[in-house]
Amino acid sequence: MTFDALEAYRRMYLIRKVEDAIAERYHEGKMRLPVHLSQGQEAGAVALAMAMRPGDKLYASHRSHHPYLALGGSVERLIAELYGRPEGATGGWGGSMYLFGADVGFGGSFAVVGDCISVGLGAAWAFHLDTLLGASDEGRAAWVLFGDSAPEAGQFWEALNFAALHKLPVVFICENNGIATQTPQAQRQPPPAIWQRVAPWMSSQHVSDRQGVEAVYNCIMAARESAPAFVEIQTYRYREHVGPNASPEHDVTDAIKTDPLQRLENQLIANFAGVHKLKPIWAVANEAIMQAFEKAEAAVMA
Amino acid sequence: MKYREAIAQTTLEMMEADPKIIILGAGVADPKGIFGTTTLARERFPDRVIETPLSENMLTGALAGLASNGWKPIYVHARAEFSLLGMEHIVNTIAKWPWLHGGQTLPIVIRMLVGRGWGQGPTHSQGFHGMFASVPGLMVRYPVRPQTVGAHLRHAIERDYPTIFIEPRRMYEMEWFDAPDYLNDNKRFDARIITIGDCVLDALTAARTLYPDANIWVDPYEDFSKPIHAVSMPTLIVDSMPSHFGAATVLMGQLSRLGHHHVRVLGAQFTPCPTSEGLERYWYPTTAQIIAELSEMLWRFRPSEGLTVQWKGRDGKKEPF
Repeated sequence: MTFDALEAYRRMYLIRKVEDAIAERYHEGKMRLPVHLSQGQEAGAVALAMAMRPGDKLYASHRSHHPYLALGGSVERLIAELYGRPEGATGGWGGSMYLFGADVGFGGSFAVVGDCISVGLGAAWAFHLDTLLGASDEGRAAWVLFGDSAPEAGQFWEALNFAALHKLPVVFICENNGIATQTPQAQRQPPPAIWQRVAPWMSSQHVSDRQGVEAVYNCIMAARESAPAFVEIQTYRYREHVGPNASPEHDVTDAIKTDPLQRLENQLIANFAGVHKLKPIWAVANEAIMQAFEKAEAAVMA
Repeated sequence: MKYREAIAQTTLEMMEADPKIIILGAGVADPKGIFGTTTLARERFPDRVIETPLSENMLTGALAGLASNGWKPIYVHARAEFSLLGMEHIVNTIAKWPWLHGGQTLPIVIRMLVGRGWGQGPTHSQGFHGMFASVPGLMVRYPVRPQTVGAHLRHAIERDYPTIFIEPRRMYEMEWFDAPDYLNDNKRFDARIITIGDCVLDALTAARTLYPDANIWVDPYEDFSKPIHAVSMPTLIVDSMPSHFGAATVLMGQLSRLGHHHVRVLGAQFTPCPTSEGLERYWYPTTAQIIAELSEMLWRFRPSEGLTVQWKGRDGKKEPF
């Protein structure tokens, strides 16, 4: 299947703009909850969402805005959730870290690091049993998206063991942004790299989103074919762990220079699309974001 | 029918009726089949009784993934302590699920056995009913009678709601039992013992011993989602586990809030359960202690401290039930 760069750009742009808008308005004090923003990490989630097939399900961790939006989750429901409204993705019970969207194949997000791995493995097991016991032969797969600290949790290795044992249709995707809250990976894990440690268990690859979203997409598509599989995506988080501010923990100036969204935009403009093809994308995204905030604010009780 | 046979039989019947039920756990598919409770199911449905690695943490989370995608897992722990490895998912994932997933309920049953006797010791003898019951979003069932355990299991599976299903190992070989007729004939009781767990046997022995001086109603509390109803009579709540911040104390609080104050609580010692048989017999609440508490409540009389005789039923049987 050919890669639809324009569609990838549309999703990445929307995510970036939504996150920027949240960061911009956060100080107003109307979103009264922790938010884990994802600027810089869009490419992995979008590539993953585009590789998913109908019936597949994705399980993610606390940094859940970008997978939710990448899958086509409603901006309105996300913003309503952050404003604590009943129209929100979980009706105000969960908030930023617990987004889920049954309608778009988003099985849920889990705020304790590592939990999404177990639940996602259970979903893969369910799909496997569907095939094995003849309930269905759709060949569905479960996807799990987590950060670089999840492999420090025991359930990650328990899940690898079980997935490899039963050859479950599951793809584990680790977004390695090199930092867990404020602690660099080197202070938490010894070498070799995570993907190298997983390699004895199952098909395991790594890719950097600085190679572009298409490279990530190709890597993930290959993993889907060889499931159970593991993909480590090298990425960067531009903001702090939680909250709207620039990251005080690490310097991302260089990373921003190789921003996959900006690179894709430049490519599209230069190669074939031209600005006239991007303009409607910008307009639609910004309009959706504005409306989502307006609705949420109008609904907030004084 | 024995307690364990009732579980095995009900499991089989439920699996015949519903092709989505699966049994998971370490030891469920081995020849002993969790003391014979899963062997019938395994013979009939070998594909749906699945042996698992000892990855309780991950597997408990996987229950949520299975249950939210159409399957009805029954996860079996040969000892309740093993479920603690999955406690994080029981509390954070499974119990919270309906609130965070648009009201979707999870048909999950987590069976766990509570060991007792033959040196089960500190980490093979505990029941965590109070701990689990304190979490919103879980149902706790602790059936103790062979004649009710099947119905409890059936309801737990049919309810489509995460259920912690606790089974006292001491009951496994027990046949159908109930309070003797003479304790029940006129339903006019002098006192009530609410029991939690296998101490129902000790309570029944105490009731037999005290009859006819007192007519004691032995009332096992098996479904923790049910409110306790106050009946105006001296009430002793006995828990097989320590009562310090435990389920028995909570029930006393509920009775107290209903305005019923003549209530006492008796539980195991607030220490780990010792392995040595000589120590262990001082750990669990005993028949003698139950009789002493009731005597004091009914007649302001407490048998002397030296009261350690083997209590025999009125009909002279050593093991009356």
